[in-house]
Amino acid sequence: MSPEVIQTVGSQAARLELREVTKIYQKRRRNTVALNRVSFAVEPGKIVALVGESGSGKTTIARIVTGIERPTSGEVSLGNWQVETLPTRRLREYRRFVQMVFQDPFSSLNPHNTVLQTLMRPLINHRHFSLSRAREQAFAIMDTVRLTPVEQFANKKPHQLSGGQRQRLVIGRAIAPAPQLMVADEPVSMLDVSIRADVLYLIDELRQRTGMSVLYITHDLLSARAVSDEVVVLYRGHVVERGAAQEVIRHAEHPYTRVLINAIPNPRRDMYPVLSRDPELVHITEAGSTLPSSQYPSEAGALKNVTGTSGVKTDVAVGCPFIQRCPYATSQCAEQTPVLQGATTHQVACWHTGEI
Amino acid sequence: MLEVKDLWVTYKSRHGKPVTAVRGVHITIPDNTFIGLVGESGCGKSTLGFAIARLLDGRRNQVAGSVVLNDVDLLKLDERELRALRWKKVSVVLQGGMNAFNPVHKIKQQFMDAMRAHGNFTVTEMKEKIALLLQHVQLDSEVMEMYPHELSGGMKQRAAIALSLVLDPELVILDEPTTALDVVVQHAIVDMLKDLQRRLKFSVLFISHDLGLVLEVAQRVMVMYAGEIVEERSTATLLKKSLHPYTQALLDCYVDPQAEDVRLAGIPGSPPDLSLPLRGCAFAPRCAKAFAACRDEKPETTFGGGGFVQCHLYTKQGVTTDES
Repeated sequence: MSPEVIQTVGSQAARLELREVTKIYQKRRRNTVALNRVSFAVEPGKIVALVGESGSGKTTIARIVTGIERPTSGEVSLGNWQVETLPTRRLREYRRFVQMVFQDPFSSLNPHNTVLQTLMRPLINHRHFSLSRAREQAFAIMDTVRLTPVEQFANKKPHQLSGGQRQRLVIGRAIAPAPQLMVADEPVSMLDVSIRADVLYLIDELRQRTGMSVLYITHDLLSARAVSDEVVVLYRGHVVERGAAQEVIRHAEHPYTRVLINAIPNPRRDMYPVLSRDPELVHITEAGSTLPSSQYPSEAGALKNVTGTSGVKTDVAVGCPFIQRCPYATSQCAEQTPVLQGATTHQVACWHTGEI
Repeated sequence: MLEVKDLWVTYKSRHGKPVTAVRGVHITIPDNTFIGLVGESGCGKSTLGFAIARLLDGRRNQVAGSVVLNDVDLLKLDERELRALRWKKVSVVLQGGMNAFNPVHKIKQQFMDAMRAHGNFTVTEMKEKIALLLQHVQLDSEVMEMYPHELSGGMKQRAAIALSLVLDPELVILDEPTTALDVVVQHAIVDMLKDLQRRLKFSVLFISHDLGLVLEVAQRVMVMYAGEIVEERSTATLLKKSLHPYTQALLDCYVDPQAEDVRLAGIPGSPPDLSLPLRGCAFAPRCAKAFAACRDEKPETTFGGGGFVQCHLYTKQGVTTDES
């Protein structure tokens, strides 16, 4: 890639910060707290992995960061953009700087458009390039994301590409507007294990070249360890552990983080001892069946009406969010919500840090 | 015991070229064995599973060879004979199996449908059996009174596994049964399945793209590439010493997340087009160890080390069983 191309692909660095972000979905009978006072930052040019299982709030964060949804309370900023108060009419302008890569490369591309058209459109729409300049730049991007030889790929349609090639095209489309932040929501979980590394390292390489920040959403701690600088572990909308990727994964403290590490398929590694009750047995317990559930005070994990910092009444859970699945839970865990503690390079929200 | 001999499957298409997805497969699944079938997408692993279960329409697809289960060639049976064998001898759980439950019927009714179609049971007997099966898959027996929408994805997939066991089949074919599920749930289900197979002693053909997962549960592993089984041996031996460069490359994709340095590996290139005839070893273009013969001659199967491998590296000197 020539220096000139780097320059035109390149973006400005910007810092993403979430401060005390809470998102509550209102339902008729009860509210669901999707995010509970989530705070973290992605420093310019860094990759932060957001890790958790489904329902942990990962995608809700992506939707809030991209301006698709607004938080119930809290602040979100990217560089000079104050996202949560951004008027709708300015969203389009904002989105030039925040681009997404989705999980499914089969459904996130228009099947009628060729590779060239897919890459030219954001250049014309967001950066107002002339047709000939957009065309030239689209070829440069194809070269960058290794859809080469470019002449061969330019006129192909998505169905003529393999899964990995399609995802590389989606990534190329995302970098076309020269974003400050890329939000990659499970970009490799639908790909074969053998091509995941290729796609992940492409994202890593691009952020190094362009200086954009990356929010990498995944359930796979192994890939998080491989490419990210920092890891934020989410459980039911709470940040339960965060810090430098190496620290959090090599010296996991929170029982939930250890559950996630144990769940990585790999027969050649050591497992943590029994860590958690079966998530689905807990599910049944919650659905109100006959399994014993009363070993903790009944209000554990239940919603209580409290007055939040904003002065608005919101429902928040009292006690540790992980209590129902945690084998180490004590009465303290039921009564007090643990807060993140520790040095900034490794923080854990657990009352029993260091004991387990 | 199930024996597959020289199985070929070709998908015929009105528009494109025919695709030969399974190319001369010989496999044996002994009784009471948990066997994993692994490969990248498009390698023909699901097609092989479908062909064994006779789920491919013979009018549109060309299936040749034999699939012998206890001296009966499944490929030669007519629809009526096949019906009698399904559920009782062979059952299948698919990736989307959990979504195949009828949303307007309770779980127990869907179990009873299968039981009524294949045997004479009283309602009490059926309920007892269903309760036992649900217990086997670690679900509460009350689940039988629930509707599918009341269950989570993982619970539904557990119920689908329980349903596949309703008539005590000898062989259960599971095609990517946990791929659509969350990691933690996937891990819980696979552990449950492993435990269940060891206790009830049926045979399992577990089809997955995830070698790491398969190695955690299966007793034997078959690695498939471009329609052929390129290596087959016990999990323990494979973990100690895999022979085929493709198996080795797949294994290298799994790294210890807690190691000091983590660098993910991949396999460069992509699998060949199965609508074309293959020359030499199908893996040769992606193989780091390929030499001249690999491009021109098809490798013979070499037996040894408690299994077999199909690779030129071993055709001359054979397989050393020394595992040091």
